[in-house]
Amino acid sequence: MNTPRDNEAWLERSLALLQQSADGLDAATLSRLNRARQAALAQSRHATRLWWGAAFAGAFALVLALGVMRHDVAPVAPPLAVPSQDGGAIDALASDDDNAEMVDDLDFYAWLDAQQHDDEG
Amino acid sequence: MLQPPCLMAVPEHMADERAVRIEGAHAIERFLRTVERRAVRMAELSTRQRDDAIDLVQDAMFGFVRNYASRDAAEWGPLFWRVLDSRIHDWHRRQRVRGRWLGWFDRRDAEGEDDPVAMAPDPHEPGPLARLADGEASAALESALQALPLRQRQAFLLRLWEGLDVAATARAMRCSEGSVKTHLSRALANLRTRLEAHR
Repeated sequence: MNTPRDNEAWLERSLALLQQSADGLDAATLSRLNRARQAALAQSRHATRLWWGAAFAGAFALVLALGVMRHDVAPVAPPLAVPSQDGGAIDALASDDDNAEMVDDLDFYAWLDAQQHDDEG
Repeated sequence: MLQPPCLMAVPEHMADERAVRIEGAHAIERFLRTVERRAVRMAELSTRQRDDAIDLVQDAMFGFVRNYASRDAAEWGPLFWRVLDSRIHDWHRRQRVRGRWLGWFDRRDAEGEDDPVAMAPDPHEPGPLARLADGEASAALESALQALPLRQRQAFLLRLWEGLDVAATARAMRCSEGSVKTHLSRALANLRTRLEAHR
């Protein structure tokens, strides 16, 4: 009949033999393991560099996009009114923000202008 | 006077981060060194081929470093064995599929050059255990371990050889703690029966 002590003995012996077999691996195997380990760690360093590169590229793209948006929404100076011979008064009125609504009545002002020319003539 | 950038002192927090990264890489390397031999033997007991075993361990190292290197060092053990266990299962799955195909071709061309029987590992090849001083007992143990079902063998090796506790073994094997206890109990019974003559 097996006693617990017997069980422990065969188990300990088995585990010791297993450990000896691991400790006694040949040089070629150990060399391959060493290369595998170094390759795995190098892959990690490479991935870290890629991550930082992607982060910098993303940040640069973000700054660029913000710059373009800022450029688009920057206030633009109103165009200077260039008086012309025919519609000078109308252009001057159109350039005035306070009188912008007058632009909607261009026909009226064209008629008024024509009336003034007729009166002078 | 302004110094060129290469001579300027690295900010303290960046130097600290770099030191932590370097120390982390060294810690992972130390960890892999401590487990790699047992990992090869564990894989070899499943594959019965040294080359395949080393390939599996290499895959496991890559997967572990890629996915779990940033985890707390206390978690590394179960996580590494979990990755290796997964690779071993994948290897068995591939072998089964390959075996089915080879069997089909073998029926079609009985005189083919790729004879799966010839390519199969030699059951009389004693393995590394048998080359030790106590050759007979070692050969018996190697043979008994190889004959165990995969889950039983993994439970035995992870729980008793690697020394993981039941919870960590369950995590490594992706099963419940109750399953670990069942697999281990059966593994011990099987091994005891097979090794009876050598005790």
